[in-house]
Formats: sequence, C-alpha cells, structure tokens
Amino acid sequence: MAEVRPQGSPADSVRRAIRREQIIVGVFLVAFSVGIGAMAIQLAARRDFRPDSSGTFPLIVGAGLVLCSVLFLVQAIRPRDGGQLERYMAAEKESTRMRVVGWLVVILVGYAAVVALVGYTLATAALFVVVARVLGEKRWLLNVVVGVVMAAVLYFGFTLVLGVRLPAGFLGVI
Amino acid sequence: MGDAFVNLLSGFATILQPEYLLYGAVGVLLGTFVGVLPGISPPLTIALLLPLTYTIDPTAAFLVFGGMYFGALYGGSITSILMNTPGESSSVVTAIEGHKMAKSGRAGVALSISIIGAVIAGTIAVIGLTFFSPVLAHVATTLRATDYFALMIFAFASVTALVGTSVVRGMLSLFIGLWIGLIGIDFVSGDSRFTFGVPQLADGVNEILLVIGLFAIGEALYGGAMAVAGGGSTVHLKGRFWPNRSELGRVWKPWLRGSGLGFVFGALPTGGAEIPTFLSYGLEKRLSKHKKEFGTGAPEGMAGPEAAASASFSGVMVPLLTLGIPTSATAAIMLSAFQIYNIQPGPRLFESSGTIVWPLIASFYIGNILLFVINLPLIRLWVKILKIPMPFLYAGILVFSTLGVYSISNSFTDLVVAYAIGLVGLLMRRYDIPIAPAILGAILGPLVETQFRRSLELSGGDFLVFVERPLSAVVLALALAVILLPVLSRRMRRATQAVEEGDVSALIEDRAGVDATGTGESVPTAGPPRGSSSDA
Repeated sequence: MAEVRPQGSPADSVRRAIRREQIIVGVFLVAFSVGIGAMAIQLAARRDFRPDSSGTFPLIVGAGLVLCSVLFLVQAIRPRDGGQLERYMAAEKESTRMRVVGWLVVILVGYAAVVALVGYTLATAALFVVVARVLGEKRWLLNVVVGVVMAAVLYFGFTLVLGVRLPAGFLGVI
Repeated sequence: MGDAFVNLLSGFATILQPEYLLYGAVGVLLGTFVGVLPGISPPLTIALLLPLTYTIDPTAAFLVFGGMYFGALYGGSITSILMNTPGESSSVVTAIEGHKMAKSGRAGVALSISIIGAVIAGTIAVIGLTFFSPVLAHVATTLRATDYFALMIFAFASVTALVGTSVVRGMLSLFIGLWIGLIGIDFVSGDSRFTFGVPQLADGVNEILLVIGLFAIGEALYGGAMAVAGGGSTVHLKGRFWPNRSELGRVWKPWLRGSGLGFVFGALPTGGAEIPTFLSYGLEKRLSKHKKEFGTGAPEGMAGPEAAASASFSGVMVPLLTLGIPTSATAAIMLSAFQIYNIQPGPRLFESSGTIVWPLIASFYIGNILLFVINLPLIRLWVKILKIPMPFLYAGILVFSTLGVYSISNSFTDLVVAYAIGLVGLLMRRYDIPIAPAILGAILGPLVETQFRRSLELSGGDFLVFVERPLSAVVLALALAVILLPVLSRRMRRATQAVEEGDVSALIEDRAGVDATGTGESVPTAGPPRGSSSDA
C-alpha cells in the first residue's frame, strides 16, 4: 500500500526534527509522570490505600498522568492524526524564534533577584527597557521614557491609590 | 421568579450609585483596553487585572469584574475583526467573516454589528441568568456529594474533549492541572503532598500565580518569540460605521438565534463558547439567502456567532454561581476571585452572599449598557491601540504579570515559580496542548477531591457509591461518552472511507494503530487561535 503523504506536509528534514522533538518531550513527560506516580503510591501506602484517605485522589491523578504521557509518546512515535501536530509545529517553528525565550527567562530571574534590593520603580523600568530591546525595539529614548513612566505610574498607583506594598528601593531613601 | 425580581431590584439599588457605576465603567474600559491588545484573551485580561481589585470592597470588585468580563470579550472581537488574530477559540468564526468584511472596506460595519450583537445577546443571557439561577440553585440543594462529583467530572470531560484538537493532549493538560491542585498540605489529614520539601509550597500553588503564569507570562514569552520573527497586519477602520437597513435585516435574526444557542450551551455544565459559536455559524449558513457570501464576509455569519459567544459568556455564570462549577477558563478565574473574598459559589450562595451576588448580576446588565455607551465613542481610540509596537506590548505584559504576582506577597519564590509556570505555558502552546483544562483542573481539582472523599466516607469506602444514584450514574456515563465520541466517530469515518475506497488493508492497519494508542484525535474544525487554543 502506498503511503499517502498529508497535503502541505513540511519537508522531510523538518519533519524528522519535529518528530524527534516530540519524542524527547514525550520521554520527558513519561519520566516526570512516573516520578509523580511513584510519589502518589507512597502517599496512598502511607494511609494503607484506604479509599477515603488523602492518598487515593493523588493515586488516580498519578495514574492519569502516566497514561496520558505514555499515549503522548506513542502518538509521537506513531502519529495517527494525519500529520496535524506536525503541521502545527512546523508553522510554529516558522513563526517563532525560541532562542529569545532563553534571554527573556534570564532577564526575568535577574529581575526577581534584584527587585527587593533596588526597588520596584528602577527594576521594573529596567525590565521593560531590556525586554523591549531584546524583542527588537531600537528607539532607545522612547523605550526608556515609556519604561520609566510606566514603572513610576504603576508604583505610585499601586502603593498610594490601591495600598499595595511594593519595595521602594532608592525612592524610600528620598 | 418574583423573589428574583425583587432581589435584582435590590442589586440595582446597590450598584446604581455614582461610586459603583464608576467602578463598572472603569472595569469596561480596562477590560476593553487590555482585551483589544493582540493575542490577549478574556481570561488573560481578567487574570492580569485581578490584582487591581485586591484592596477594594467585594461589591466594587465584582462590579469591576463584570465590566472587565464584557469589555474583554468585545476587545477580543475588535482584534479578531481588524487583525485576524482571535485571542480565543470562540472568536475564530468572528475572525473568519469579520476580518473578510473589514478587508472589503466594511470594518466599521463589522465592528458595530459585533458590539450591538454582543449587547443584545449579553442582555438576553443575563435575563436568563437572573431567573434561571435561583431555580437551579434550589434544585442544587437536593444534590449529593456523588452528584457534584459527577457534574464536575462531566465539566472536565467536556472542556477537555470539545476544546483543542486532541483528546490525549487535552487530558494531559487536565491531569497536569489536577496535579498542581494537589500540591500542598492536605487540610483533612495534614499530609504533605508533592511539596518536595519546599516550605513555600505547603500552602499550595496560588491560583492567581498559576493563572498569570500559564496565561500571561506564557503568552508574553510566546508572543515575544513571535515578535522577533515578525508580526501580523491590521486593517484600517474606514467607511461607514453603522449597518444599513439591508444589513440590519440580515443580522437581527442571527443575533437572537445566537443568543439562544449561546445561553443554553453556556448554562449547561459543558460550558464553553466554542460549540455554540460553530453551531451558530453552521445554522446561519444553512438558513441564509446569501450562502455564497459565507467565507467572504457575510454579516450574518459574524452576527450569530458573536451573539452566541457573548451569551455563553453570561451563560457560564449559571453553573458557576449555582453549582460552584466553572466550565471555562474565564469562569475558573472568576471562581478564584470569589475565593479571594471568601465567597464559595454554590447552591447556598444566593442565601449566604445575596448582597454580593445580586449586585453582581445587576452589574452584568449595567456592564452591557456601559459596554455600548463607552465603547461606541471610543472605537477609534481602541483601534489605535492595535498599533502599539509588539516589543512594548509583550514587555508591558511581562511587567503587569510580574506586578500581579509580586503584589500577592512580595516573594522572590512566587516570582520564580510564576516564571517557571510561564515557561510551561509556553511549551504547552508550542506542542498544541490546551491551557484551559489545566486551569480548570488546578482550580476545580481540590473541590472534586473534597466531593470524592466525602462520597467515599459516607459509603464506607465503596466505589460503587458513584453509580448508585441514577443522576450521578447518568452524568458519569455522559462524561465517558463525551470523551469517547470523538474517538469513535474518527474510527467510523476512517472505516467508512476505507470501505468506500476498497482499501481494506488500510482499515486493518488503522485499527491496529488505534488499538496500540488506545485513543484517537478529534478532527480540527479550525486552526487553533494564536497563543490560546482553548482559553475562553
């Protein structure tokens, strides 16, 4: 029987890369789910597998996670959806640049680490400016003005009007 | 019915004060402003704006929610029509016909048909909500723990199976959400579950943090990755704004039919706006005298689904308020908002928190009117917002989401957890795993477990308790059917196709393959909207 290739399917190399990526995700999901499942069994065992105990529902959830992850992996190895997920992911790859996400995560974790120290306004203005720059905003002056004004408005709006506590940083010294 | 009317009037008496009206107006403005931003869906809008209400009194807060609720929906329609980027799956049909209308020089007409339809449908649905909710709440007092368990499982099943493109990925999302909902110390036994020895996880993962992480941060990371790769284009608003007599003649019936479909499907525990919008589109296409215009900008093809989306938006409030069961991501976030104020929706809500519920329902009426009054003159301003550069937009979303998380408890751990959840949200978008089931699982999961354990406690640990009462048994059977139907229909379709083509070997191979996976995929009716395949 001749294999019918789905209409509009991506090129073979891209398809192989997508398939490999799906399998890696599937393997990770199965490993993660098995870990959760094992913890759920321990929880249920601690309560002697009594049906109305705190361990039964986690056991059901753990089993569901393992089952769905295994099915995800099986479908990644033997797709049965006529190439729908492959096409979706090929379109995703074309319309996104995932490398930038790594930079964004580094910036965000850096922000979380320093916000209490340097204060909300300064840290948030810097967060806005740097993120916008990384995403391609080249007008520095406009970027800085928007970032500083937004951070200041949010800080004063939330602390003075809404009474939410935010770290003042150098503004507290002033 | 008389009681409901009197209570509604008292609700109006509360909110028809200048201060509260102002809160409602602010809600509509904020909801539309954020909702109109490309790729931002109503649940994301509400999640982003939730922190604004932490410090105001509950009645005012729910007025803001009411306004945001409708504002966000309409804001999403503007983006769908002018940019062809539906922020949620129920806007897909709006984007199909509305964007085509806009491209053919009728952007203003499309926007006005959309807003008038939203207001009419919203009002019809709120009338239904007013008089149907107390009746259902009364019926709900007779339900037992097993019935609630079965209804919640049904809500899970329908949201998982009917939304998105794959049952397996939907179920995976649901179980991830249920697992997140389990993290923390069990209040009954004191057992620590899935906390990994981290003391900050003892109280569980904050729902707001989860919602902001999955929706807002996930969307900002995803949108950022898209912005670097290049963005979409906007159709300019030009020409007349109001529909002419012939167009009105074509859309008034679809508005009413869409309202009915939207409310009925929204009020069922199945929830969601996807089914009524697609049903409405199909119905209008069948009934229209201008079938050839469908797909090229038929006003009735947009009016019906828009009305259905708006009506189902109010319809989902029925199971939320009367049963405490959210059947959409937006309703799940509303449930967590209720919980912030120590209000537990359910059959007793109308008795215990009548002073909040009736003003909330009254605020939906006012919200609809404010939506019309405020948004009509501002329509050109909203259109300008679409021109915000993408780097500013996504940097802004990250700033707002970070603020939302940080304002909960000024915690470094919270921020890192939210960013990690955001990364998971990004990966879910990348692998077409819908977000809504995870949100529902995390928020509704603890309630499901409570009913599950209560049922088993009362039955002495006998699992048959869930099928002993006819109502529970029927609802659980329906839930199973909802999950299995897409799989079976796919098998049937393939079998029929193979027999017609005489390719029996393909059929045998297909059966072997399906048996190996044990499941199948539902056929996508439309490409998933960018960033949120199932958010509403």
